[in-house]
This record gives sequence, structure tokens and C-alpha cells, in this order.
Amino acid sequence: MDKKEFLDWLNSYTDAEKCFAYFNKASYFRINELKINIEEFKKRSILNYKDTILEEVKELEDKIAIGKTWEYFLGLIHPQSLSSALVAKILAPKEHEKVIDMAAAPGSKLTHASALMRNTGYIYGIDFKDQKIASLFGNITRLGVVNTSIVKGDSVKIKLKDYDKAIVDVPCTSLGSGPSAYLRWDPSHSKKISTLQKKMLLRAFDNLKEGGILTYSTCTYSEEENEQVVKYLLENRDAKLLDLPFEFPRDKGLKEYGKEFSKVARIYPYHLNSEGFFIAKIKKVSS
Amino acid sequence: MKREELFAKKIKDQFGIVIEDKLFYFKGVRVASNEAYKNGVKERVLSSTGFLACDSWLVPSHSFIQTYGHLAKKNIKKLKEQEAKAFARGESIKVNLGLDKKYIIVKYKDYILGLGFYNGKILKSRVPPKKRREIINNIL
Repeated sequence: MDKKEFLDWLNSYTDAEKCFAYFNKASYFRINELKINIEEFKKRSILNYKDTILEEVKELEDKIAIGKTWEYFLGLIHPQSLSSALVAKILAPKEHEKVIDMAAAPGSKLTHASALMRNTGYIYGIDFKDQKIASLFGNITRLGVVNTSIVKGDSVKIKLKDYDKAIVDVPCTSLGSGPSAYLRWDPSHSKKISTLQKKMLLRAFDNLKEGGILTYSTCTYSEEENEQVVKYLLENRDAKLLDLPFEFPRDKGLKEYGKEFSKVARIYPYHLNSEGFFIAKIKKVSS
Repeated sequence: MKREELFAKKIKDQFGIVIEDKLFYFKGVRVASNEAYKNGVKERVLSSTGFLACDSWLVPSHSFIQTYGHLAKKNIKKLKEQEAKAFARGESIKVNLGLDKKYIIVKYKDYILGLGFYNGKILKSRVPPKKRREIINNIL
């Protein structure tokens, strides 16, 4: 797809030029509270950074690669975009809960969830690619995560039960991740991948106990991968969309899917000066 | 005495590191939270739970020292910048610590670099070669 076609397509959702103006402008890191508390980090770190809407996420002001700092090497920080960090924050896993991560590698959301749970409870992380799992292991070891098991497998086939929470950050067309992502995309990709996304979301939902909560997220804009997948779950299971627990700049879900979809977040790059994201918080209600 | 009890005793004696029983469980050489251990056993995924705590001689792993080294109360050596660079490259450093042969937790400023072995005259780096490369290529 060429840029003009993509801009026309994106303009059907939002201001496409504005999205392009904000792509990749800022780099963020999350303070790993398993190894250092935020106040202590402020005293010790020599990095220059700005605060964001999340206390533990900072915007780096230095023109250096985060992966080349002492703080990274020692597991005090983890590079993670602000939009991505919202996922675990919105899910808000509590201490001693059981959480499943349906597509765990490379582990940004999983390790963030572990920090929110203060390394208690249990996280079951699934991924299927060896290389990605290796990077996930590297991250959980560097960040000092000890409440997690990593399993190689097909998350659609792994049946679990009675989990309190689930992170469903599915493989997607990643159109929100960078300014050139559209070059390898056409609308048929979204239709194809949405079948897998629906299966993963349903499987994750079935793994939850009654009253369990999940977040469904992608880093893309197409409704086939976002609202349609969530709608599919709402039509096929006893599921309910929940309000987001705190306010932040965002668009609501597309109006044609109904009032209920005002509860989901469509984050475009200009909202937070970060990646484009879609996040929905869903509860399993009693049947 | 069980292997995990031996390891817990060793790190307490050597470094003054005390891990709360209710938080952590050592099974063989792995370290994981109690709850992760119980669930991991139930779902037969223990081998991928937590991370290696020590080698077969009960010497703490680099990951263990990186994660829990801040709890240490003794046998800690802070290096200056040039010494830290040499240590990270895997070089031995001549220092007089006034100690017998023993493992030392090596720091630079407040950062834990890893484990070193002091033989009475020199401090040898026990940072794994892959991690040394990481420091040299990315940090120094």
C-alpha cells in the first residue's frame, strides 16, 4: 500500500497527518519497582528524563539508547512505550493473583504486571517462538521477576482455569508501532489475522474464573483487529466491557459499534506522544 | 540438610543475605516465589519457573547476585571507575581487602556488577563472559 492510500484509510479513523507528525518522537522507559523504588531511582540515576501520566514511566531526554545504560544492564529500567505501559496499569493485577499472558514475549507487559504484583502470585506466560522466548527469559532474569513460568506453546490450545486476570496483547499488523509499518500492509492482512485474534481472546476469556478480568490490546488501528474482535467476544460469551480505571488522552471506540464501545481506548500517536494502541478492559460475568 | 537450606545458609553466612521463607522457595538450584513454585508444580512447568540461583557448588549465579545482592551486609567491595572497567572486561584486580579467600559482591557506585573471587591478593571477575561482553559493548 502506498502512503496516500494509507493516509486516506487512516483519515477514516482520525487525523492521519497528525499521527505521522508524532510517530517515534519520544523514547520511554519504565522504572522496575522490583529492584528500585521510584524515589530511590530519582536520587541515584544520572539519566535526564521527564515525567509522564504514569508515575513509573519516564520520557528519556538524553539522546542515547536506553539499552546502553547502566540502569538497563542492572535491571533498574526497561524500555517500554507509554501506550504499552498502560495495558498492565489498566488491568491492575493485585498481589497474590493468578495472571495469564497469552503472548508474553518479549515481556514488557508481563514484567510490568509482575512489578504491580510485587513479585507475588503467579504469572503464566505463553509464547511460541524460541528466539522471542529467549529474549523474554533475558528480560525476566534482568528485571528480577520470580513469580512467572514461561511456556512454549500455542496459546489458543493451552487450557487453564480459574485465572484472575489475563493480558491478551495479540499479534497484529502493528500499524501504530512506526511510520513505515503501512508499507508491508494491506487491508486483507487485518482480516486474516483477526481470526487468530478472536481465537486467542476467547481462549483467554475461557481461562478466567467468573468475575475475572482481561485487557485486550493491539498496536494497530484497523477495526477488524480491534472493535470487531471485542464485539465477537461480547456476542459469544458472557462478557462485559468495563470503564477504564483512570482518565488519559484518547479517542473512544468507533461509534458504529455502539455506546458500550465508548469505554475502550483508541490511542493515536498524538494523544500521548507514543505508539498507536487499542485497549479494552473486559470482565467475565456470571453465566 | 536440603540443598535449598544449604544455599540459604551459605548466602546468609557469606553475605548476610536473608531471604524470607514465605516469599521464596529453593528447589534444587532454582529460585522462585512460593506461589509460582506451587502453581508451577501443579502445571508441570517448574523447569521454566524463576531462574537459576546457584551452580552445582552452591556459588550464587550472576542473576541471583544482580537481583538480591542489594540485601548483602558484608563482603562487598566498591570499585572505582577504572577498576570497574577492568573487572567488567574479566581482568583480575590487585587489591588488599585484608580478607582470606572468599567470594565478594562487587559494586560500582551503588550498582552491583556481579560476583568476584578474592584469593587474598587479587579479585577475579565471576561475571559470565556473555554479560562481560554486554557491559563492554554497551556501557563502557
